[in-house]
Amino acid sequence: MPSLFSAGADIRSMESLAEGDSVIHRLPPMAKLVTTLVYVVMVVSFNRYNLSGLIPYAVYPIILISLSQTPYNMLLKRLVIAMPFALFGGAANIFFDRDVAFTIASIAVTYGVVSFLSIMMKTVLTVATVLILISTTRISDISDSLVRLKVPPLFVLSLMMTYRYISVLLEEAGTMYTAYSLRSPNVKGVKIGDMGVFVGQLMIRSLDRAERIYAAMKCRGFNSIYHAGDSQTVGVRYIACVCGALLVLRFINLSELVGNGVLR
Amino acid sequence: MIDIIDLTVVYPDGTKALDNINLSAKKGERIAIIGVNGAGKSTLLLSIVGVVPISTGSIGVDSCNVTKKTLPEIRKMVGMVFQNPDDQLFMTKVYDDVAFAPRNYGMTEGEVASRVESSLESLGITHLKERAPHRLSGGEKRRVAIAGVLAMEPSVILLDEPTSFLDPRSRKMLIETLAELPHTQIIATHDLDMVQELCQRVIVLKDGVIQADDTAEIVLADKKMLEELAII
Ligand SMILES: Nc1ncnc2c1ncn2[C@@H]1O[C@H](COP(=O)(O)OP(=O)(O)O)[C@@H](O)[C@H]1O
Ligand SMILES: [Mg+2]
Repeated sequence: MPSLFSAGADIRSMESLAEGDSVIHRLPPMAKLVTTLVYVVMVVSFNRYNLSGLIPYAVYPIILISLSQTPYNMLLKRLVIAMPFALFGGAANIFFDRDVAFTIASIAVTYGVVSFLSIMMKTVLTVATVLILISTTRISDISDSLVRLKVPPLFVLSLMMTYRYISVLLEEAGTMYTAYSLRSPNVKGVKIGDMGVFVGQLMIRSLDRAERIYAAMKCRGFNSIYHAGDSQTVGVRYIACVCGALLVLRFINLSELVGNGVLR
Repeated sequence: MIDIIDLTVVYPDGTKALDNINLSAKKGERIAIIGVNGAGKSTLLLSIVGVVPISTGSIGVDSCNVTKKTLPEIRKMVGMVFQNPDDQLFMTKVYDDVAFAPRNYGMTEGEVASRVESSLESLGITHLKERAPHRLSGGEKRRVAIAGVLAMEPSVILLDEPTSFLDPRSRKMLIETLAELPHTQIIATHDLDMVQELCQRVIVLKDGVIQADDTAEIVLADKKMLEELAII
């Protein structure tokens, strides 16, 4: 249960990072959102045996991290959460794809290993870039940009509400857990026997709360439509430069070029 | 301004929260509703904005009756500040939260901006507009919640225990702010000192029934009744 607190604290620490100030923070949210989307699509579109082509793509998140001064231990912690999924999916390849791709110092490397590595790399790159977007851009700015990109406002609203209600749920759980543990000093966490009541109570409280939030929204004229704020600058030049570079790197394998040059 | 006639509210579980309430508020009046927990104060406020449905009787705001159909109109005239600001503030930026109602009413961003600026200014919180609402102090949250309601430019404001969760300093500042607002105000509260400073008129509720409705001077001087009703 204490991990609930740290989850709440996590959301908050991401949020406070987004309040920071750096070149990256000051970029137009639209520019960051579009380049991140393009980046993710590009990375995912790489052939699964094309490991060398992916390598230059690591430069973009690295530049973002250093310019935005995002603490990398925070990024690492969250990356670790995403890794098991990739590990599981990727590991299957090692068993099923046993043809030899190439040999390094008489060790045969199979296509399975190559695709495993490329899945891992794709995961790290995309998750890291999205995390950097979130930790340098406020949720409200991201949602406004999404609406402007013609993502259905209802979808954007549910995104924002989910985000809001997660904190509500965590807060309620935190309060209840504190009250519970103060009255049961010898128990670590919540006793299994009390779990049903605890979770049930949490549901009721959260529902009550959600109902009040909804009533308050209705009282301010809410009619299920999310209205975005004023249009900000788009940052066309930034988008053009980054996406241009990403496109070039997508179709010209820089690692191979450099490698061939060195060998020759 | 507000005319409540023979209002009875029964919750779906059978609790009779309000019983035959008659009450009318004049323009610009500040009325306090006092009574112990469960007396029906919140229910009264919520029924005016149609969050809690009327069982029998009627509520009129500026000669417009509160019905399901008229709710959008009613809610434009009557702003409700909920007891817990956390239930009300849900946007991720103060500016956007205050802009929430004007945007819902389809204003242009220019109009929205001027509404937001003037509401923030009248509560003295212009400096908070870029902040995240849920990370503000209790007093600041309360002000943002009120600003969000002022931005609708309502003629009546309903406040549910506005001084709860506030430290003495924020409480004092809030009372001063409310005293300067020209709106008709109906304030549910336990805070008798605030009532004394702010309200001309006091209505005492017990078990959903009005026990007294008089000037603040008279009601607050009636220590015997207040004690009998466990208010002091
Ligand atoms: N949603 C609800 N369902 C059933 N009963 C309720 C509900 N909300 C309030 N009540 C009951 O209605 C009565 C009045 O409550 P309320 O208006 O909240 O009082 P106050 O605000 O004065 O403390 C209480 O007896 C309370 O238990
Ligand atoms: Mg109440």
